[in-house]
Amino acid sequence: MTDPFDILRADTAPIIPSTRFTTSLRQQLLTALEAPMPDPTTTPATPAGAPLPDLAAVPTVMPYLCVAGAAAAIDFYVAAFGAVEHHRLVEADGRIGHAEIVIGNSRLALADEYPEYGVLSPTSIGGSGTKFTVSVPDVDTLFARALALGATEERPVTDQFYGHRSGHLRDPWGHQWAVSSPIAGFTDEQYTANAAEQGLQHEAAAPAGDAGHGHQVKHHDRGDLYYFTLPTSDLARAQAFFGALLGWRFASPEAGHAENISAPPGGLHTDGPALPELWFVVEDIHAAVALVRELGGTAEEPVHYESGWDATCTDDQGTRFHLSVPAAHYTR
Amino acid sequence: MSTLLHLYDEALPHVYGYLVRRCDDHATAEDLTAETFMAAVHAHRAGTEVGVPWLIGTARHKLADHWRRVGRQREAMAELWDAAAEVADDGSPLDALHVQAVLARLAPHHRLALTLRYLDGLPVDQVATHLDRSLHATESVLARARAAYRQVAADLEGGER
Repeated sequence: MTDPFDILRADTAPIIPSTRFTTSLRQQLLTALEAPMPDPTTTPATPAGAPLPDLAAVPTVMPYLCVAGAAAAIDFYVAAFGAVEHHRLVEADGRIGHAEIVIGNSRLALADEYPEYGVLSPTSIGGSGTKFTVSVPDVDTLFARALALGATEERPVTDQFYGHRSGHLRDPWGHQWAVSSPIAGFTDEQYTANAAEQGLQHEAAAPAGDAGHGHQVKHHDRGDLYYFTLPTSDLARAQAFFGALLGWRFASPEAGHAENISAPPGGLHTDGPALPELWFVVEDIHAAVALVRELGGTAEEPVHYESGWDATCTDDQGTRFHLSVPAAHYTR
Repeated sequence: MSTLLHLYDEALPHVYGYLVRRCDDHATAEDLTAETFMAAVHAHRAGTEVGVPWLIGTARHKLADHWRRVGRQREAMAELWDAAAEVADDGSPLDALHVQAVLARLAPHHRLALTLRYLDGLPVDQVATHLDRSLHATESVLARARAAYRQVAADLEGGER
């Protein structure tokens, strides 16, 4: 018995789509075919060749992009920037409520527009006030690929005074990206000199932790180690020993003292106390000294130096240590 | 020139033709065509032999995915699919004149079932695979889809009179 619905059987004649579509899809395929082949036996290739970030850890700061068309944007970031999708949460209405991708060693979150919560993308706002930078080994290839996939060139790829070869683009959803590769052999000195040529003053901010510079203004919290000293009879040998063991770097020794210019702050000395000494940060030196005594320890009267307050103490079993209130803006 | 680009030039009208007859608009057909060929690139690079039959099969999957998305957007699909009631079809001949107009008025899951079964001419077990339903559930969906089709077709003719 024939099924009356068989009459619906569709025509199979080919239909030629528009030239615009045919050309643009062909270009996309060409680009996709030329993209480097992922090696399934290794971790996904990342632009900077960097290891994937620890996805269990919550980044302190993470960019969160609002995109009108998050699913398509993820495809674009994967194809253009070598992003790896980590996961997505999809609403019943098909919108992506939250997705996370990883580009190189960086993690980004993105979501579709939620006008009901005032979450709008550059498409709706009519521009973006934020720019993302992507550092890759070969900016020219990546830039061309992004353009072929539909990005708009804002500034072509050129060598920049700050030691990068970079170009700026706008992705199809209005987000702005600066893509760059470091220029090989570019030095800090060139950076500062080129900046000066551009009429820019190079002002180093206080670096956190290991500064790599001898002078720093550091924020201190109660209980932080403020300073240490280690006694030694031969500075050069002690520098070599702790340099090899802990990676410490030292300023040129002065008056029997070699200052560790990497973290933690401290130094080696030949003419001080015979035991290691430690300084810990407190907020109020007089209150802290009173507390030491109350807890059964001993404390000398606090002394004020240019570097701040200092009190030499022992705990209630006799171990010696120091308390410090670092002077504001003191650089050592 | 790459084998795949050569295939693209040759197969594009077939893939697009297949999709545009089964979609409401050109934009959707273009999107699904692009998805199909991008999938072909990945398959080709993974060592799969890709030809027109592979492309049409993939296009069919993309079409099914598309209507599932549309169905989810309308939030009705799952409940309707789970409904158990059997619907009778009187078996009278159909008028092939308004096929697309009638299909466009059907719920996405009905449209998907009818497209796979009748426009594409797939046997019921293959339709079941595409719908990810049991054979029995697929027969139920098809029965309700046929009834819905007749209802819409009758309404359409009534409206035009």
